Amino acid sequence: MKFTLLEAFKQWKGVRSAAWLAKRVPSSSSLRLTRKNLFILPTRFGWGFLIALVVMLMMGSNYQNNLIIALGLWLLALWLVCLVLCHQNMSGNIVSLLQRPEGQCDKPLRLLLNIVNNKQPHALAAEIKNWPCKQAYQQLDGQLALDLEVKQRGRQLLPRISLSSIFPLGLFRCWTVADFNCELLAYPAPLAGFACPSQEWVEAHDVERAASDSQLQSEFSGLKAYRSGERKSLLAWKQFAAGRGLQTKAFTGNPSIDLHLSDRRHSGLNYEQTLSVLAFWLRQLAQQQQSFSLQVGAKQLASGSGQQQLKAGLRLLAEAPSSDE
Amino acid sequence: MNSLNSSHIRMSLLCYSATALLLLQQVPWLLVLVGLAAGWWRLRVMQGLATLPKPRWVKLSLVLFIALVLWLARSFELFDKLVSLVMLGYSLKYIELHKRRDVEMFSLTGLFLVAFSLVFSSQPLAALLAAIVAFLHLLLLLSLDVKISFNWAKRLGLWLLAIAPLAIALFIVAPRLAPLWKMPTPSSAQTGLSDVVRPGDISQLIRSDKLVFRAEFSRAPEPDELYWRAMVLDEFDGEQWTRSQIAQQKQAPDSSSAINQYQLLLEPASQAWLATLNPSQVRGGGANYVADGSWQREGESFPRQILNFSQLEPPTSSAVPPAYLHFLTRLPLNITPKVSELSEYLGSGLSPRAPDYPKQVMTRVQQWFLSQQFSYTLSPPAYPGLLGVERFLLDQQSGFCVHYAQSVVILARLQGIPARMVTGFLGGEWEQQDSLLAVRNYDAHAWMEYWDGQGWVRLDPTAWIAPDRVENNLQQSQATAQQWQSISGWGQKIWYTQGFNQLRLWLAQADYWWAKWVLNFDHKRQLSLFSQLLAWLPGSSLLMLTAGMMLLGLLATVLLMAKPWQWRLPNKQVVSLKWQCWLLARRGVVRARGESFNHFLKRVEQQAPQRASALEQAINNYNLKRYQP
Repeated sequence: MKFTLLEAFKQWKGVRSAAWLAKRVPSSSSLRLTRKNLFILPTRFGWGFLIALVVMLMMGSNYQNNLIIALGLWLLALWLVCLVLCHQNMSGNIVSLLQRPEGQCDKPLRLLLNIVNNKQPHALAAEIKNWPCKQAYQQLDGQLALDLEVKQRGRQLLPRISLSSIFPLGLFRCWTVADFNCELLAYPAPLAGFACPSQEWVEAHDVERAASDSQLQSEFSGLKAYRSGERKSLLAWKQFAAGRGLQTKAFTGNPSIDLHLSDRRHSGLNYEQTLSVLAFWLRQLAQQQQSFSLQVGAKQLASGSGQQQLKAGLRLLAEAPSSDE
Repeated sequence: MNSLNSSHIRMSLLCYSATALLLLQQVPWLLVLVGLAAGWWRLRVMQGLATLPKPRWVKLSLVLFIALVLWLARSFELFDKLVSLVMLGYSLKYIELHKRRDVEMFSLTGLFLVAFSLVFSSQPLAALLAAIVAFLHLLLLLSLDVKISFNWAKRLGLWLLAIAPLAIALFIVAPRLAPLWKMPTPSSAQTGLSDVVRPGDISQLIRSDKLVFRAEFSRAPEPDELYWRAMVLDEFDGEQWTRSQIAQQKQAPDSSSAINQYQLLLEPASQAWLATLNPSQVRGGGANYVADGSWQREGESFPRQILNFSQLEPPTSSAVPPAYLHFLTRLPLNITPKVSELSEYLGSGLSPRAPDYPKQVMTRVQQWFLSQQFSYTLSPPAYPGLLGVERFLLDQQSGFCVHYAQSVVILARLQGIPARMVTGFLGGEWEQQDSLLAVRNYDAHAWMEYWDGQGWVRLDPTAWIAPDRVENNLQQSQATAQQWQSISGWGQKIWYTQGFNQLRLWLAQADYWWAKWVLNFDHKRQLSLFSQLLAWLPGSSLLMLTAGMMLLGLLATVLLMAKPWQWRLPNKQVVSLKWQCWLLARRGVVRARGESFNHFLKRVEQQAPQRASALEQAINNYNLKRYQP
């Protein structure tokens, strides 16, 4: 009972503060830091410093030592002025999101923030509350990168990013919580070691014809070592017969052999794993300049190749509805 | 931002060494070495040249170090022990200097150690050094956020200077509280005279030029009045002079009319005695009067302190209990026969009943001293005990003020005249013409007082032998300058040469103002400053004044931070151009960022043609001003 009450209170408080923040710092693609959206409070060290100053002043008055009192008061004035300096450091900057974070699930997703001002804020840090792997660092040219760790594939609304600085002496923390109204997109993590869940359109036809067809449309560019999982139709049998090992023929241009990938299930794999296997193969195929088409759920991606196709495919995979829907 | 690199460690090592230098005399030097070693080793760890030990070893060594420090500091006062322990924590912080928080802790401890160092010494130079060390610690804190460079040091310095008005305003208006509780005092506060005097003790003192106090007069006193009476030594056991219990009882001071006012600016000392002109009356409290006519500090007073006195008209007669007078004629029984013979010879033919008997005896004593070959020396031979008195009087006949004072007291007592030895200081160095006098350890002096039936008479036997010494201080008087030079250290020798005289006096002056306005800015001074200001600004209350001063300080700081003198005043053309833009913006034609004026003008001609000519005029004016000088 107690716990649920506490949790209910916390939830209520969270909703209230979110509503308050939404009014205070509305979501927008770029944010100009002003008095209205910057918050400032002493850090833990700032409070400790203040307490130490009180102790120092008490020591000074107990020894009737004006020098200690002067030192304490000087540091107190410094403490007060750091409040202004810390705010000044942040104030007046314009922060905007450079690109939508997009990437693979198990790798850190990079979020790039652009900061524009005539003077750079010092020691700026960015983090997202309750988000794992917050590693903020400043880059050159006023850009701040934030690497996010994403566990689950799909489209997620980016929470508020807190930008903060404790710049002079670490006594105060001046921060804002920017809402760039942006979604991040996480592709499923690739899963290797499974066969390609594909149907080669050409499988039913004559392999030789397909090969000659492909040679007509794309240029032969040489041989390379065979890696498991590559199409057998591209194997250079002559060279194999001559004892030079398994090699594949590589072609440049637009290979005509189309692979049709789909999210039909492998035996023994669940839906998410199937998507991961697909993600692996999309990368493989794109690397080999192989053209492919993809069907995920009801959505269809037309045939194509290259990085553009890969990205489109991965996006399709990321946005696939989960299996139980 | 949380991880440290070796430049932080280097910076902290610099801070550590500076703090250690500041406290070198207070903490065991071995501790400083341990800290330096720990810092060096941490630097090596940061550079990847060494590894961290296991936590178990760290704990063990921690315990060992604490034990070592406590053992090294075993003879220290409580306060020094405390400082040593804080210093130990400061040194061993190097073992776990991993994160930002550790450095913050390190700096804060450093700032506290700086504050501790100010308890030990409050000279302007010490304060300057402390300020530098504090600055280094702040720089270390700053280096956590930015890469430290000369520019950043300059910037931090500017911040610290810019807040000066606010800090000074705070210093002036912050209430000065009485000590909330008793604090342990450091050990290094021993100054000058001790309660027990053996012949020869004072000759050790004259090797030191440590300042004892300064006196500020409202009217220049006569040179022969400057006998600073500190302690009365009335009990002699044959070896040493001490203060009797009777003499130390508190008493209400005699009252007579004041002839002069003076203020004593006392250097830190833990002894109770005060050196005052006799007779004097304290004004405003802070001292107690005791039966032997001297003043004692009220309680313990460690920091510099100011006391106000009125010099009084010498009383024509005073009342002393006969029992005390009798006590003052007592001598050890085993006075050597030769000294007794001398006393009999000096007293022969005089009648003890005569009213001016004491005076006659003293005249005889003076005549006898002048008839002998006595000489004054700063490095006398040792004259231990009563045999020493005989050897001084009849054999060697060369000695220091204590020997003269002591022997005359013994001779007087042998004649039945109540007499006592007085120690204190004689003269001093004028730092401001006729108003500010500095008294140093080498001004220490001893003389005697005898009871002539009506009151106490001061008698300085040294003046018979070396009148020069009484008129001037040691390094100025002809008789002793040479001797003083030979016994003092080479630093003192150089410092007291003619060439440095002006600098020395100038520094002393600075020290005086420092002491008067910074170190002794206490509750009273604060109130008097406020009342002066109030008289100057009529019709405002103290509260308003306080608020006003703080506001003034804040304003000055804001001005210094904002640097309005660096602002450029916009010229007429720019203002009119801006005005046109503003007018257009109200009509909905807003100049885009980075849009050239010509382009904007074209846009305006299309969107708001009626304002285009005015804008064009403004642009032309601006261009004329800007590009055609």
